[in-house]
Amino acid sequence: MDASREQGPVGPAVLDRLPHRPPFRFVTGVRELDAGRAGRGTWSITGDEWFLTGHFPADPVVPGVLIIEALAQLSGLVGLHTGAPGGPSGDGRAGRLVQADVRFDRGVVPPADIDLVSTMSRSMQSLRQFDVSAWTGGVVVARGSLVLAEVG
Amino acid sequence: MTPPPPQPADSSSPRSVQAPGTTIERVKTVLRRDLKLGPDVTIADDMPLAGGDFDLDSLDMLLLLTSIEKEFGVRITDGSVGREVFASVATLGAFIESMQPRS
Repeated sequence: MDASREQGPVGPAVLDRLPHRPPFRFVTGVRELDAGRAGRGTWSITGDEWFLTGHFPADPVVPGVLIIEALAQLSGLVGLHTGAPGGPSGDGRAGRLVQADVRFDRGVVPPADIDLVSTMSRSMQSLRQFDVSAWTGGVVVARGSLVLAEVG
Repeated sequence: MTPPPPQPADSSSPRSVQAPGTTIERVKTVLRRDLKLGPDVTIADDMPLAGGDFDLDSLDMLLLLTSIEKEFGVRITDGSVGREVFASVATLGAFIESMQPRS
C-alpha cells in the first residue's frame, strides 16, 4: 500500500493540516484519504451552528455555499494539504478556491451528517481540479467540480 | 453511519453536445461556447490561445481541457499536455486528433 494512503478512520489530527479553524472549518471527520487521488469525509451539523440562526430564522437550511466550502476543504486535504514532506502546502498554507461548478439537488435541513466525496481529476501547474459530491442518508444533495490553486 | 454510495459515473457533467464539422471547427465551437464569444467574433486557425486576443490563463486552459474531453470523448492525462498544445487553435486541434483512436 502506498505510504500516502490512509484508509479507514483517519485520525482527527489530519484536519489540522487545513489552514481553516473553527468556526470556519466544516469538515468534521475524514474517513478515507488517498493523498493526490481521493478522499471521503463528513460534515456533522448539530443545528446549533452560528449561520443557522440567520439562514433562516425558524426554518434552518444549510447554506449551499458552505457545502461547496466543505467540499473545497476536503479537496484541499486530498490535493494540497497532504502533509507530504516538502509537498505543496503541506505546512498548512492557504490554497485558494478559484472555480466551482456545483448543482444542488436538494436542501439539507439540520441536524444532518453530510458525507463529502472528492476525487482529483486533473493537476496542472499550480491548479488542482476535483470532482466532488455531497450526500445525506445515501442521497446526493450536491455534485459538481471545483478547482483549487496552490498559493505561495 | 451508512457510507455514501459511489459517485455516479456521470455525476457532474452536463450532457456533451456534439458539434458538427472538422476537429478545428469543433474546437472553435467549444471556444466560442466556453469563452462566451459572440457569433460575430472571427477565430483564425493560427490565432494564439495564450497571449493575443484570447490570452487564456492557466485556469482557462484547465477548464478548456475538460470541455475538450467531453466534446471529443478523449481522456487527456496531465502529463500529455504542455503549453505548446495551446499555441493556436490548429495546434490544439492537431493534439486532439493525435489523442483519438484511428478508425
